[in-house]
Amino acid sequence: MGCGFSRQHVVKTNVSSFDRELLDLKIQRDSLQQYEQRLSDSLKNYIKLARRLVAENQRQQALVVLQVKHALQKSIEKAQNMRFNLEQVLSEIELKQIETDYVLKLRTGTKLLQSIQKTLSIEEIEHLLEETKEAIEFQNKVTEVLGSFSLMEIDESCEEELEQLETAMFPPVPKRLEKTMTPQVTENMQVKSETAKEYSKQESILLPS
Amino acid sequence: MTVFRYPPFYSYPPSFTLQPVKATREKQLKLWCDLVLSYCKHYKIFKLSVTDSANSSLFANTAIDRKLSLAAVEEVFSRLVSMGYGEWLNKEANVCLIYWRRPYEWAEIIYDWVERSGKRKSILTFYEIRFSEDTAEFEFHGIDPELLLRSLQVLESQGKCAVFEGKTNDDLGVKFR
Repeated sequence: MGCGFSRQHVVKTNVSSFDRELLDLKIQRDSLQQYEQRLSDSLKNYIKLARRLVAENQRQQALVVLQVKHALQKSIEKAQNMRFNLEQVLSEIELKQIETDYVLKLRTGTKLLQSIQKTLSIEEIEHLLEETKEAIEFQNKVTEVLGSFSLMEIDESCEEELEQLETAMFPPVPKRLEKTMTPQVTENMQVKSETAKEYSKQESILLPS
Repeated sequence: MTVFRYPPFYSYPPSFTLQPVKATREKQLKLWCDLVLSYCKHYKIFKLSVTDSANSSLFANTAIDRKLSLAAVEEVFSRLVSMGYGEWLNKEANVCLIYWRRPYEWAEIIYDWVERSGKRKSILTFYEIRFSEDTAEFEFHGIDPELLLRSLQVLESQGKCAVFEGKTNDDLGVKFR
């Protein structure tokens, strides 16, 4: 199957040391995110605890909890800032990567274009165009000549055909007579047909005029 | 999340005792295997431990006060593994990956996501695939890292990606072609 075929042509995805470093950065970003997650989870717990302490009227302890909560919030903010910075660096790296790729491709594209242009010189193109123009003009003349000629040709051949048709449709009279008579007359056939032939000869001489 | 609906055999007390007749037993094991797979799919569970799950509602129906024995649960898991719907992760701890989708199926789903989201040629961390907001609506969100590794190895064998470690970090990442 196609599967087995494609397996033979597996090309290993290359991992460069640049990729490894990029991965390190991304892992760093992930761990910051995990850190934030952890902090905001405990933040929720502290808020719950503070509410409970207030409900139990333990003001002093509630104040301590709130202080911790504030410290946590600051840490979260710091972590967030770090993560945003990292995200920015990452996206810049990726953009630069695409940019370098783009420039490389652009370079090969330009080279390709130049090599194609090299095979064609302007004089050659002008010469070719000139030749094409001449060829077209010649063809036009040919068509013109052929057009005026063809009408006459058709006329002559038409006349010929007309004659053929006429002889076919209106055969000499004696022949017709012979046809109608054949069933009845069996004797003296030879003589009669001979006379008919004579008649037809006479008619064919007369007809063209 | 909607409540999982157990199949009818789950409310039938004899289901919780392994049947001595071979044909019946086969059928019974098949029912349990199907239940494990649909249960895990419903709750998006990627691995189960034999001892923990034996005490969970999956194998213990408190409504009829019946429970599958540990040995029977083990047998169900072995059956899953032999049918290719599971893989022992840690034989000593009896932890088993449950394949309600097999690694090659996950591989296809993940690669489809990579292509559709324009993530080809980019480097992703395992954490990103498992927990980022980008994958929240996909079935593989929260996938077990071992299962993810196995699925990506399928793609790797097809030349569609490379799994690798960082320079200073042993956390895994993947680069898609």
